[in-house]
Amino acid sequence: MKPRSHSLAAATVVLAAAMLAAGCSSSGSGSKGEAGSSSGVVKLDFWGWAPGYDQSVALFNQSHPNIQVTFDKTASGSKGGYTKMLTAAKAGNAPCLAQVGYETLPSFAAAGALTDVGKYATDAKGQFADWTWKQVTIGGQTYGIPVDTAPMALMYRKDLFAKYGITTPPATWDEYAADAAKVHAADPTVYLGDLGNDAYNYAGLAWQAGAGWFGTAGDQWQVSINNAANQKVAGFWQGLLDKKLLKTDPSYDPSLYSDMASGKVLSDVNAVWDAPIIASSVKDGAGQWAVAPMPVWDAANPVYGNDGGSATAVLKGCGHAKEATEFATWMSTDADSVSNLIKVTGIYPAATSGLANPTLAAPDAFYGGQTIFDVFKAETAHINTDWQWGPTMTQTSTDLGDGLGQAGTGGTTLTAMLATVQSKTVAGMKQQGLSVAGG
Amino acid sequence: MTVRQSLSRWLVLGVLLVTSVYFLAPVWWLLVSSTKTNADLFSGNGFWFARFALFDNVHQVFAQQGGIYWQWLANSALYAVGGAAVSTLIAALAGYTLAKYRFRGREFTFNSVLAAVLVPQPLLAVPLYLMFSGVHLVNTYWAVLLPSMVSPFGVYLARIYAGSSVPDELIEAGRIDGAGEFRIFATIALRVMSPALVTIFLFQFVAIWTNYLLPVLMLANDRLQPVTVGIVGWQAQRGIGPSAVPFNIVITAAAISAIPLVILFLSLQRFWRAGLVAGSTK
Repeated sequence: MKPRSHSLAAATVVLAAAMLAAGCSSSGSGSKGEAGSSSGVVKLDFWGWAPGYDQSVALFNQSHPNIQVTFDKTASGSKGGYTKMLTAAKAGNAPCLAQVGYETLPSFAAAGALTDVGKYATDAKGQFADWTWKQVTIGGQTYGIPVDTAPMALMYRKDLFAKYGITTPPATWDEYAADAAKVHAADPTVYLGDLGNDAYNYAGLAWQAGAGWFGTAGDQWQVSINNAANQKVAGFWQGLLDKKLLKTDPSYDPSLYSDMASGKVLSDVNAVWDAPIIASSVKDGAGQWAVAPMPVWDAANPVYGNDGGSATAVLKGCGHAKEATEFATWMSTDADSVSNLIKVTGIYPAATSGLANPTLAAPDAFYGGQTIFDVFKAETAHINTDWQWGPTMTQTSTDLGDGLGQAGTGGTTLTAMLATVQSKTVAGMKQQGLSVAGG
Repeated sequence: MTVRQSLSRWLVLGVLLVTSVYFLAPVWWLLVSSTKTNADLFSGNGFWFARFALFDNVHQVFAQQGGIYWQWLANSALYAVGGAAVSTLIAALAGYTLAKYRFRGREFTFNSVLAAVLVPQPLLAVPLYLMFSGVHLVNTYWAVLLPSMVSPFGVYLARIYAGSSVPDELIEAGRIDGAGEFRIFATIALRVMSPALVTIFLFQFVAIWTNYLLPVLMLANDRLQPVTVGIVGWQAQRGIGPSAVPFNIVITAAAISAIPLVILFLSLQRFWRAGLVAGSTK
């Protein structure tokens, strides 16, 4: 779930993180959840913004009389929610539990706002795919439990593909490029796809190609946004841009949906949460859409990308980390809770058991009655396992989003822009006092 | 009229026209869009009407999430009216004092206030949170009300206005007639300063009504939030899941939230006249 507009007020996260790192003296921690102690009921607070979380919390409270969770709805992460959590962690009155996107967890970790729950989560670990568990594990410490993931796929207009002579949706990026040329040659006003300005969508493409951005070695961060693997991905998309084979409407912009509705943009490579957005934003062509696996680099060995997903993190100063972990695991794995989250929140579950949830077997009328989640389910076992987010994603995603927008209008090239993003990211990390290798 | 004069007149007219289009186009878009169904938002001309669904939209806004929109409007009204009223009173007192009394530290005080004008409010949100959390006021109405009750810009404006529009002779006359200092302030100065006070009230009201970061940080409870935070919360759900809020509801809610500001401006406009007693003592 989680289409987001990270770029906006999100800069405040970095600001708050920097303030925490620079740190005035800590005003005491562990103020939350001490009242419950060993006897009686343990009370936990949970901050998040997703609809439906409150209903899963209510289900938990019914079946767990000794742990009572209170869900407080905050502003969404990029709209001030993360700043609020970081500030509260600094003030020593953060809740035990918080909804935090995978991409933001490293910045929370860098700000020292999280609690390591590794010793309570050993049982939980086996219930999630390795690559999702890696998203909540930073530098060997486990900071929460995965809730949802966002495998990517190709959403396309079946009827218009056929009209332009594309009988099967492109399975590889080579085929994608060929189809893009074919469509555009048939009608110069029509485009196979759109290169938007969503940095996280682009990150999903890099993720798929094994073109990591961040890594850690010892206690040093490593930045590889401009390495050879990333140049390959950027080079592919720049090649299509150079031949004017891509539309460049901004991501999630009305202009994109209007182009989709009028048959000028035929497909979109995006995450599972984008399927309902397209369905609700593009009214013309309902029933003509379909979902196919994301095109891959190597047909013999398909690997896919992921764009989004979040965890239930345990914040600093939580006096009941064990119970907090128990709740977070329950919320992500209990069948009733997962059904609720799929139905109301619109998540795609991270728990392996969740993928078999009957709620995901329903056919979707907008996508011609296809059971679209089957496509995503088949992909999840083959998502690249190496991806790691960095501690300055707010800044990196803003710079990358700007670069994507400029590349779309010809102001720069994707391949040239990576060097800029890399150097700005390294500079930003140094500014926060983080140890970075290379530059 | 010379050619040159008429040319410059047309130029001025042109600039004003462009400026007003620039400012009014988004408002027009908001008005038009709030009358559309969710489907029509993404098709057709964004600046012209489609199927008229305004009343249905309004109905849905107030029905969404158990009618919480009323609560948000009431909260915003409480924060804005309370904060603006108190801050206007404080600004009037402080501005009048700084303009009309000589005392040690007067310039220093005024310069501090001036410096405070330069500090952007969002910068103070995080430090304020840490302070309020120390005295256990976060997640209460006071957490938003108290910081809204001071307006350095208001003090600045009130001092300038009091200095230029409240004649010393008027104060002297009051003293001779035996009025106390506070009575002179309350019955004479306050009235003379009223155009400035209306301006301060309006500025502060708008600033509080549109404030976002402070309430986001301070409040964790949906029912305490002002309308800005509430609408952004709806918008952030981006139409996903059955409980999500459709775009047309978000847009209509935004349009409705602007109405109180329009009413306020129109109703206070008549007080907005320059110098009430300008020239009365000369």
